[in-house]
Amino acid sequence: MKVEKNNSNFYKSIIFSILLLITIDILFIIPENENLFEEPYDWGNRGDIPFKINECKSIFAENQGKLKIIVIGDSRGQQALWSQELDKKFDNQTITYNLCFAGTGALFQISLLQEIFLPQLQPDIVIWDLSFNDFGDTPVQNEQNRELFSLPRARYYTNYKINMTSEEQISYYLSKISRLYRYRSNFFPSVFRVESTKGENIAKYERTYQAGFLETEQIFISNETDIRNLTINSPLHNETMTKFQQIRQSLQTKGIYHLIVHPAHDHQIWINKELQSLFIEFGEDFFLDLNGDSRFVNHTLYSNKDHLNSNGASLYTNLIYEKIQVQVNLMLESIQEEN
Amino acid sequence: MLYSFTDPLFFYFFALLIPIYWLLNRKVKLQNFILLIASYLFYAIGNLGIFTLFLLSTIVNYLIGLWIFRVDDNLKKKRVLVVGIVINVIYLGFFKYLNFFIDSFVSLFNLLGLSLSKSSLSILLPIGISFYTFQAISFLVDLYKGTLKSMPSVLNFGVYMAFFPKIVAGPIERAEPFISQLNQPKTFDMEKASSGFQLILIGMFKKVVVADIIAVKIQDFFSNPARYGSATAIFAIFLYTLQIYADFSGYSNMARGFSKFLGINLIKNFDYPYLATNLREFWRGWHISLSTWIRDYIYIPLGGSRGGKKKTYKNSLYSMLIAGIWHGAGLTFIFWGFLHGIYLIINRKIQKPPDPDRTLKPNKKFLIKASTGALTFILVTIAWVFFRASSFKIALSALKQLFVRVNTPFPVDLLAIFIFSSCILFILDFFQKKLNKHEIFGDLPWYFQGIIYAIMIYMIVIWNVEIYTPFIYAGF
Repeated sequence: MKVEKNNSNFYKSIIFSILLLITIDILFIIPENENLFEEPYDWGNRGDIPFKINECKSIFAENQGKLKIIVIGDSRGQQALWSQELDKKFDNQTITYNLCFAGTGALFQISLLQEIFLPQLQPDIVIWDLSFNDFGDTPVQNEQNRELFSLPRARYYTNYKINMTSEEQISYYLSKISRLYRYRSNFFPSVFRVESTKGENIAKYERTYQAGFLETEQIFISNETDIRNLTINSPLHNETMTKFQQIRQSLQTKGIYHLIVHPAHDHQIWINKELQSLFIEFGEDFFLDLNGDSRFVNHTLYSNKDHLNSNGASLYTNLIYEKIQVQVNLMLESIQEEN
Repeated sequence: MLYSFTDPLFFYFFALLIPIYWLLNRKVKLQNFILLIASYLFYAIGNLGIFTLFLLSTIVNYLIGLWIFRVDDNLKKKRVLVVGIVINVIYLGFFKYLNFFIDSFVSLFNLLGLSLSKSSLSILLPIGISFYTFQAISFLVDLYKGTLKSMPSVLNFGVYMAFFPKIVAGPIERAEPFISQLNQPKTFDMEKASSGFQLILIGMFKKVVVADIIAVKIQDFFSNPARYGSATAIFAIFLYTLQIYADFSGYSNMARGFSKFLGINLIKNFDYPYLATNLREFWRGWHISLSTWIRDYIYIPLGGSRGGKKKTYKNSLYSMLIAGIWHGAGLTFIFWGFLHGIYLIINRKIQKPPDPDRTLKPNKKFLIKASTGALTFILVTIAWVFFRASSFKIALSALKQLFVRVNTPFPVDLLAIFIFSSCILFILDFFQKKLNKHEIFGDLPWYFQGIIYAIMIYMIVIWNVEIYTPFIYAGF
């Protein structure tokens, strides 16, 4: 009798626990629509976006009167520009903050710039580390774009199904189906979190330049000696192209100086004629092409194929400094005159 | 790679196996055949080379067993048994301990100024080798002694050796009780499934929510203890004591749980060891399948407690040294075994048999139990430092840091995890001991069970966010 009761209790309890989990999962629509969840930590460091924006805001507020520079881009930009070093070169008359986020494409960066960075941070200068493959009409970019605009807010990006392990694929589909799963990292107590992996620990180091990429030592050794042409021949994503032109116009209208930088790659030149001619059209003051730049053909500048290490970042920062020096000095003079 | 119970692939595998297995209701041979195929698949997907070695070990041990069983002459039987044991010990020694000797050999070469690379000599360690080799030895001894009365079929012996819930990290099963279960017709039993489900959930909870979080938090301390002060050292060392328990007992719970779903009961490997009030009691509750194996196949054959105090002490020490070596050839494991041997000798020396005429007040009784329990826990914890450390030097350094002040912030995170983990483990142990079973939720009202399961599943999902750490004992 007791055994039968226990058996029926087991059925009931399993059904009840499943119903309970489904109910909570469905109810999570409410806080999601109210934008109460942060983006999960699952991919890149897009989970750091709210934290970094807030930190940037407070740093800009503490440094009023200085020229505000933001750097946007993906992981390549994140590992390329040494904010503090750039400020040092300008005798700390500028205040630079690196707002590049690993795993973001051009459309995502445009949205961030338009909707958050420009209105909330009001930068004077935007340095935009942008490569040709950020504009592609590829499954990767499309996945990201679809999610970006189909969700209440752009937050969960366990996308990039290409090369996923079976475990990652399960994780990906679960994050699509279940909100409990998708936002789970929001509920993981910070005291239990491992240091220097994800989250605030990355942003904490940004100002002192270990800049979210603690592996500043030389870990990448390539055997390549010849420079290879790599053709980025995927069709361009029309919406991204349109929005890119619009944001450039918007920056020009607002009088915000912006420099587009195509990142460097070890022993590779990325080729996309259409984008190359478009970028060149911007003019020398607005485009810095490091793609295939002979100064970057050196393995010791990279932590992997197309991410710079601290040596590479130092060179990159110096080149940015040289490129924007005249513009910055002009802007500084006009600020002094106004004062 | 199917070796891990927490790998989602394993759940696909198990979900596929269960309906096939139970569709063959009561068809004993077919069910066992399915178990054998599933177990071989589980092992072979991980590494085909290692699987081939395992297969070879199974065949050789079966043939030796058959020989022992068929020979009538006792002396001849004994000789065959010795040959069997020697083959198993050489097999285990070669794969498990050769790397240790290679390391020493290479170091010696380097000292002499000659260069020799380790990678050119290193060999792969077959998963679960210590567990299945000990099982094979017990099978041969039991056949010789007659504890195992009949020679099992090739199929049953194959399942006994390869049964997937236990192949990676035990428990070390004895042939007789395991094979007799294989011979019984099995039908799906909801009570067993319920208890299996609870065991899997509790095991996974311990592993993911307790052990894995501790593992990542203390790894830096055990890599370079000298960088940390006494507060961190205390918490890290005690946390490892909790981690290894949560990890290994979690694994054992899961192994038992998956087996129950297949209608097979595995030996209970843990019996609340950290609630023990002395070292002998600790060993009655820790890794029971190994401690009883050592007792039955080493301690007792050596003479056990017969032959006076000195011999008993010597046998205890030898047995614990073998337990240490079983884990690995490193000096740290040997010292861990040695330390436990010494503990047991001291325990035997000072522990007096209970005096029925002496009655203690409940308060005093509780105080004595609490203080001896705490002392046992501390002694076990000290020994674990040697077990965890990658070298003897690091173990000593970790212990030294207990008394060194370093100007580092107080490890609030370690304190929080310590409180959290010890509460979870203590609460689970307390109720399991009180109810005298590991499946503690079955008697609760269904809605209460449902809430507990939902919370546990959700916590497992959340905690899984962080880095996955393999089961500690899967390395043995």
